[in-house]
Amino acid sequence: MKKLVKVIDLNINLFYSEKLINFLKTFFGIDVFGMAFNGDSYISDRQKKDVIVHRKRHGAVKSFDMGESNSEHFFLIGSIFKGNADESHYNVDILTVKNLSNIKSILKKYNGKNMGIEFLVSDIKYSDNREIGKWFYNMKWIYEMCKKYNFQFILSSGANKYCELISLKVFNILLKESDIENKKYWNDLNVWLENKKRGGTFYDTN
Amino acid sequence: MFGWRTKKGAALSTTLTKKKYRYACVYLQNNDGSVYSRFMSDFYGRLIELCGSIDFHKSNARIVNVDAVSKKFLIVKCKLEYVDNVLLSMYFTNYPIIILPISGTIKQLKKRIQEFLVYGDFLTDS
Repeated sequence: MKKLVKVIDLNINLFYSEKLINFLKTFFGIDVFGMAFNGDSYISDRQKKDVIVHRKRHGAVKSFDMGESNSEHFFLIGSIFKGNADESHYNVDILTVKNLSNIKSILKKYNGKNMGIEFLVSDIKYSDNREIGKWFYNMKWIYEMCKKYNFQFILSSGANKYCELISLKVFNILLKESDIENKKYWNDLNVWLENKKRGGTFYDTN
Repeated sequence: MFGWRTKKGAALSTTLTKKKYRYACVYLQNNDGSVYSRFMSDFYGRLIELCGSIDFHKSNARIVNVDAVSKKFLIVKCKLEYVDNVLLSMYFTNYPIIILPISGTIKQLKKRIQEFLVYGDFLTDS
């Protein structure tokens, strides 16, 4: 039976392999993977289109053929926010938050752009307990801010090593600890990603 | 007399309050012998600090030795109500581990380990 709500991890920085995908599906319950590919090493298999989301860094694309591109790849443009509010993040699909300074002004500035605000678990995996506690608090705060300013909150593993990968169970625990209802979170993320795939996004070319 | 009793006289209340346990299994990517003890002290430290000393003791988390399971796998038994705390603390330990899906029985866990060895062969090779 086909799963209606897919489990999505949009930031996996590991080398793509069929075995990895099968492993993540079978053991970790992840259905959709966001991965960065170098050069021309894109997954051209049409069947993989629903499973793999190609991540690209902001500035890597010269044309505006985002969303469904000519080459049948679905791209999401990502950028990293490190606290500098003056930095431009126009035409970005996902903004990965590394620093919460000035985040509110960013949310106000890009309100209504259907952008995703991403938190990476790998950022705090090796932090001390105090930092972890604070991170959970911040995550809840950002989640509420995203709701207020119409952004999609995204929680991703950001895995650079196999041991940093996260299973569905652990994802749900992380959400629960931040008082985020996991069913609502997965539903919203599915809807947002589908909208992006359909190209129902506003891109400001200015 | 307090409590319910069956025809044979055994207290029914014992079955009603039976504690349920879960088995969490981790795969230690680099097991050089010392990792095992260091991982455990780090894991217990995380569990105490993240969830509190009271919940740590209530969780009853402890290592279980199971025959015919490789030393690369570490099995932790804990109370069902505290399995979330245990998994969270495991994830935040500073060791290269992979957390396998939790199981209710040792038999099921052994099955999962076998599956892991098939699907995750590329992890065990590295």
